[in-house]
Amino acid sequence: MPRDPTHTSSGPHFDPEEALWAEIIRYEVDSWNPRWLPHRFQPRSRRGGGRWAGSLPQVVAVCVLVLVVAALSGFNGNIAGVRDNLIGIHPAANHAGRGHGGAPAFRDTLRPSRSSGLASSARTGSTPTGAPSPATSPLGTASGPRMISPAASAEPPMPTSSPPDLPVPSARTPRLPQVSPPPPPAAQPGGFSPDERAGSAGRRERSPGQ
Amino acid sequence: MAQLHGVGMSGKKPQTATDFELLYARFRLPVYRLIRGMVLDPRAAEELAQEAFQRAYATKEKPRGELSPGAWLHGIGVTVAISHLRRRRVARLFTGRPRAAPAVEAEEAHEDHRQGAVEKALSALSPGLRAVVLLSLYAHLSNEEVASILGTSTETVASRLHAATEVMAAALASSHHAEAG
Repeated sequence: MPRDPTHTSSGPHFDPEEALWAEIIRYEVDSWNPRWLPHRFQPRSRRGGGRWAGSLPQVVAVCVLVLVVAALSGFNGNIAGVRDNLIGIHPAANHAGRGHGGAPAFRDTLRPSRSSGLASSARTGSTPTGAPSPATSPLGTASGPRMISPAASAEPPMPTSSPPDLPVPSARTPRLPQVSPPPPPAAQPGGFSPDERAGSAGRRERSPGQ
Repeated sequence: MAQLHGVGMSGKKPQTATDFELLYARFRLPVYRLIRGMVLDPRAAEELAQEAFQRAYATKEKPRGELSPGAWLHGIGVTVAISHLRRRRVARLFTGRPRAAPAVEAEEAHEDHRQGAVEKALSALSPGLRAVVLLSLYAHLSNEEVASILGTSTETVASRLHAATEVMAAALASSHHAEAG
């Protein structure tokens, strides 16, 4: 067998036993041949630069875009607010949709209004939180007759809101003395005093009997 | 110091890709065989040989002291092989079996790979003793070069070589007794 040029005669000096082992090892190891080891060297491309060189400008562009959007949406440290702005959710609508904190505040303002007959005013678009209580609502204003208590609503109902054949005024007339009427307005030109209203109701009460 | 007569590469650093290709053509088989003697796995030895040459190519311009190109490449091969053996040992600790894929295991079992006497003797050694035996007795590197590669002293290399030959002789003797019995 031809001697491999790797192994030269100027190698290390072995004792007889080691020299014998060297011959045995070389004889067997030199018979090991690879199957798929290529004959030509193919250097691989560098991992770090090649992997990120193409996508680095895209990553930088995305980061800049996110920063610009965050700055335009009024970033004040509230991550949830920035997220809502980014995905197009209005903060008020978002709070109303939640079941925990914000929703009861809006719904609770509607509940007493419905129980006191304010559903129509809520439907017409008036602000629920700004609706005056029946005791403090001034008479003579445009929304006054709808928002006052049932005692004060002894006036004839609006023709559009109640059917004309209901005997409402006659049924409510005897309860009038039990309810303390709101103080009369000091200077209301063309306004009616409580006595005048009672008189008009009394006149109306007599009319069905006639 | 042992002279590794490459293709005009003795004692010279491979500066260009052509130089390295000559180095690869010259030491491809010796490095593969050294690694195979270390890991005792033909398939893994081919992959590790390629990895060793890639690592050598990446660091071809770094200074390597007094080592000749052949000793330098053999040193890289030993380092890659020892790293592979460590990974395989850790994988055995966690999974209880070597990292080789089942298909590779079946293929190797099917190819009627008969373990030779030297392979049996090498399998009885620890990776450190295997490196000393292969670098000294197969690659014919001097004790100084082996000590430089392994980071030990020349006396340690000599004593390890003596201990390794005794272990291999005992392993071969027990193998012969087992075959005779």
